[in-house]
Amino acid sequence: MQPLKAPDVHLTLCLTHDCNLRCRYCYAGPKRDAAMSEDTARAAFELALDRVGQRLHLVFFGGEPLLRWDTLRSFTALGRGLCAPKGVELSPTVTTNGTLLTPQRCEWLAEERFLVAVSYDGIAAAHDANRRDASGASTHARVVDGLRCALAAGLRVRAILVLDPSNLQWVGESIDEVRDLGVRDFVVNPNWSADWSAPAVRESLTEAYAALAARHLASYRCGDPLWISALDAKISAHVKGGILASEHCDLGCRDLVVAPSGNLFPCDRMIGDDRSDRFVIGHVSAGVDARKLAEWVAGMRTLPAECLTCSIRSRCRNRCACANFAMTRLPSEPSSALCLHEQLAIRAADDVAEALFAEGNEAFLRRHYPGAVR
Amino acid sequence: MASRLTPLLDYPARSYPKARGTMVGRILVAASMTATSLGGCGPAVDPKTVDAAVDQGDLDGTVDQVSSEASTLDQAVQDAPIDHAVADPEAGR
Repeated sequence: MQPLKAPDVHLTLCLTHDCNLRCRYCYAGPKRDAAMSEDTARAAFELALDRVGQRLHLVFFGGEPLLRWDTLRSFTALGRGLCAPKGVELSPTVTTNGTLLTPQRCEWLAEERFLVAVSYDGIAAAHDANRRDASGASTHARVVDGLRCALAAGLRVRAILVLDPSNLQWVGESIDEVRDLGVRDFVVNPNWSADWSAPAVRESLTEAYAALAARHLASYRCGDPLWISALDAKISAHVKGGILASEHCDLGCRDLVVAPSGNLFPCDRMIGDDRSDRFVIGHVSAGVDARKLAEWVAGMRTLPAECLTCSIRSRCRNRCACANFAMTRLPSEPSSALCLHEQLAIRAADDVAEALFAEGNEAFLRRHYPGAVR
Repeated sequence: MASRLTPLLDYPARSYPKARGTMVGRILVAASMTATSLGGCGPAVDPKTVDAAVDQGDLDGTVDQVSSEASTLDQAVQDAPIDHAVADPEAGR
C-alpha cells in the first residue's frame, strides 16, 4: 500500500536503546548499547520522503539520543541532504533528558534550528523521585544546567513534566522553577503506568490540576502566557468542537517510528527493547506491512460503550493507543485512570478559559481565537 | 488494570465559544491546531506534541480538513461581551 503524500510527516528515529538515566517509569525497555546505523537512517529518510509533501518533522529519540551526539549530527546532515532536492523542509527536534546538553552542543542545535524537548519533572524533590541516573544519583541540577544552556543559546525549549503519584504535591512549584528560568512551553502528561486508584492519590491529582490551572490563569493575566499542553489542548479542542480525526493516534499510517534495528512501530511507546515482533508493523527496508497496520487501525475503531455516552468524549484522549496500551494492555481500551485525568484536565481547562474569556484577556484570545482579535 | 470508566453524562455547557464551519471558524480551527495535537503518549513526548511548538503560526494545511458545513460562529461569539472577539472573516489578515 503506497500512502498518499501528506503535507507533514513525523519521522521518529530512536538512535539508541542506551541511556544514562534509570527513570522509574521508563517504558523504553532495558538499556543496552544498540544504536542505529547510517544505512537504517538513510532507508528511514527515503521511506519518509515517499510520504511527505512539504515538511518532515525529524524527531531524535531514545534511550538518550545525546549519547549518540555525532550520530545525531550526521543524521541531521543526512536528512537535510535528502530533503533539499525534493523541496521538503526538515524540522528537527530532540527529546532528551537534558543532562548532556552543553553550551557547545546547544550552540550547534540552535544553528540547526532544533526544538529541544527536555524531560524535567520539577523541583529537586519531584524530579529526583523518579529521574535518577544509573548510579542512583540526583539529576536535577544537571537538567537545570542543561535547560540554562539551551535557553542561553536561544533554543526553543519545551519542558516535559510527567505527573506521577510521587511528585504531585510539587507541581505548582515545579512549573514556577522552570518558568523563572525562561521556559514557557510545557508538556504535562501522566505516568499512565502508575496506580491512580487510591483515594488519596486522586485527591492529590485533583489538587495538582488546580495548581496547574492557577499558574496558567496567572500567566495569562500577567500577559506572559504559558503553554501547558494538558490545559491548552483541551481549550483548543473545545474551540474546534472536538479533537479532529486527523489528530487521533496515527499508528504509523502517515508517521514513522523507527527503532535502532530499523523495525517500524505504531508509536514510540511500543518500541520497548525491540526484542519481540508483537508491535512491529514493518521495517525500513520493506516499508510498512499493510496487513499489520490494518489490524491496528481496525482495533482502534471501536470504543467502550461507556465512552459513547460521555458528554466530553469529543475532547477525550480515549483513542490514544499507547496510553490505553500502557494501562489496559489493549490499545482500544481506555482505563479509569485516563478517564479521571481527562475529566480533571477538561474541568480545569474550562475553568481557566471561562474566566479569561469573560475578562476579554487579550493573550488568551490571541492564542485561541486568533482570527477574531483585532 | 481493569477498565472502570465513569462517563460524564451531563457536563455543563461552558461559557466560552466554539467556532466551526464559516471562514472565521476555519481560520480559528486552523490556528488553534497549533496548540493541540496531543497524542497523550505517556511519560514521553509524542512527536505531534513537540511539533505544536514548531508549528506556532503555521496553518499546516489543516484548513482543508475542516468541515465546510454551513454553520456560523456560535452565538456565544456573536454575543461576546467584549469588542475584540467578533465574527469578522477579515480579522487577523
